Amino acid sequence: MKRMLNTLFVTTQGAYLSKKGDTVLVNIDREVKLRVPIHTLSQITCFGQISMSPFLMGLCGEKGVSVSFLTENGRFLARVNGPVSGNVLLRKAQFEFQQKNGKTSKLAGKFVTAKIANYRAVLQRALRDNPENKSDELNKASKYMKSSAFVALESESLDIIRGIEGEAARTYFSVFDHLILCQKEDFKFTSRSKRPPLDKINAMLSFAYTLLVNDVRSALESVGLDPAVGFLHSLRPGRPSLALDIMEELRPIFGDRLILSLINRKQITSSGFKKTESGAVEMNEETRKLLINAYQKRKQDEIIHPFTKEKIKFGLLPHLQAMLLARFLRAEMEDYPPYFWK
Amino acid sequence: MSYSEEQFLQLSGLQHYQFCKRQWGLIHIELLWAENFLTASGNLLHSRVHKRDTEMRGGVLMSRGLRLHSYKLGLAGQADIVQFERSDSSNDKLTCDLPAFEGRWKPCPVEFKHGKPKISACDRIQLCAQAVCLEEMLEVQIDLGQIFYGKTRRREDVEFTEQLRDKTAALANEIHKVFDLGVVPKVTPGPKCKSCSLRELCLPKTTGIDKKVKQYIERILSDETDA
Ligand code: SF4
Repeated sequence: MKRMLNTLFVTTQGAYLSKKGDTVLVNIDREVKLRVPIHTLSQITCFGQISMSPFLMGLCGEKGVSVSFLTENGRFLARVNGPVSGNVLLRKAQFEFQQKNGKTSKLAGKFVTAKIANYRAVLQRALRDNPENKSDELNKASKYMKSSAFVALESESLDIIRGIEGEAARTYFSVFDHLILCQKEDFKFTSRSKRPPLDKINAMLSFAYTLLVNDVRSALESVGLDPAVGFLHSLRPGRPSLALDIMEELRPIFGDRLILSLINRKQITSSGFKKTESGAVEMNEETRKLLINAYQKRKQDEIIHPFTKEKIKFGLLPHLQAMLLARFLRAEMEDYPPYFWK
Repeated sequence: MSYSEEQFLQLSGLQHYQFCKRQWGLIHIELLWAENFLTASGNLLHSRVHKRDTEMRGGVLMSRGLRLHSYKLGLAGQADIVQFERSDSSNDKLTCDLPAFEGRWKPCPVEFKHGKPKISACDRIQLCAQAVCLEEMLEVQIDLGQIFYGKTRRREDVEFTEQLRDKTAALANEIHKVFDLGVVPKVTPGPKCKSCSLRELCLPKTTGIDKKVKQYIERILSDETDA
């Protein structure tokens, strides 16, 4: 497996990245502010107005370091890849599988089942950590997750699976506000809003999810899968459907849990946000950096994967799931084992 | 049996395949981090040896990193070293012409190993495949090759017998068949996994023993206790 190395996040506007030998140089105002040996990195993620020399891009391609460019707010712009990785036969298997309707739902059901089970794990964790929080609503939602996880697993219709997913997400977010224990006044959550996020929690969730989708996308590409050809999410130009599929399992842990703990530990405060004229809520640069750091730290945590029983860094999960999916699509494994958080 | 150029597989794959079919599959079928693996793992010695150059040492021509191929085996790759001895032998079958050098030359492939001086069948087959390539390319017959052991700095002869040639051809054939199936072979993990550089990538615990995914999911779903 790919080793879990550092991600270099570049957020300083106007920065220019170049290479010297095997070292990445970060230049700010024509001055070298940082030197990082390439072999300590697995990713470079640039936010906003950052530029990079083609020779550094080449070095990254050669060393398997993925490079992505996002807007300051984390919207994906572009990625630089070295020579195509993986095997064309794998992509062919992926496309063929995608075209077989009956089979697609089998995979879609796995993603959704794991997502719902992980939703439930988040709720259960909250109930355990704060017994006084034992509201009926949380309990009910948790039970609901349990039964719908099973239903999603058994369902053979893609429409039904998507329906279950939607309903579970709605139920989960309807009790999400109960999971906020501190700063309740400042961080109110009513429902999920994405375009644009209408409150602080939604702004953070959206940002964390974009960091995650970017990671999942790189992971898929590096095992040779096409991130655009998914099974649960329908195919649409420009949509990384498969990355969104795999992401479903990981959202509750990489996104939701992360943001809850930032708020509940008062690491983030409401002063780090502003409201635009249109009512959208945005984070300021500092808050964004805080979130990036927390996300980064999260990736360094170690877990034991319940299926492979291997101890890995959290940040390798997208990669491991991508590998397992590739194995399944190539008929090396009887089925795809999604990730369950405990 | 004769292969076409586009069917050529990597000569070095013979060794991977003999070590572990799965390892070979991961490198040559899945093409995952093969680059990293081939340059970073125990092959440091090779990457040095594989720099292309030729030098003359006391009438013996040492050619490094010569590119080899064989239509008969359907393999292509590089030799560590091929040694050419100038020869006045009248037995023309054992000598050949070389494009840039005058006279007749007797080729001998030499393979480098860091390990102990015990020639395994695996090493013999690898060397034999190189000899077959050279024979085809130079229209010559090669009876002997050598394996050089880094530890003892000793060279040992390997004789290319009919039996060894048959084994080599059979193995190349088998690899082609597996490659055409396009599926990485499953292998029961064993002691060799300990020394395998592809361990992390292979996830040996998920292969071989056919883990039941359905049971895994159901176990986890019903495992949870309600609060
Ligand atoms: S880890 Fe074991 S099974 Fe996997 S490739 Fe290596 S030797 Fe083969």
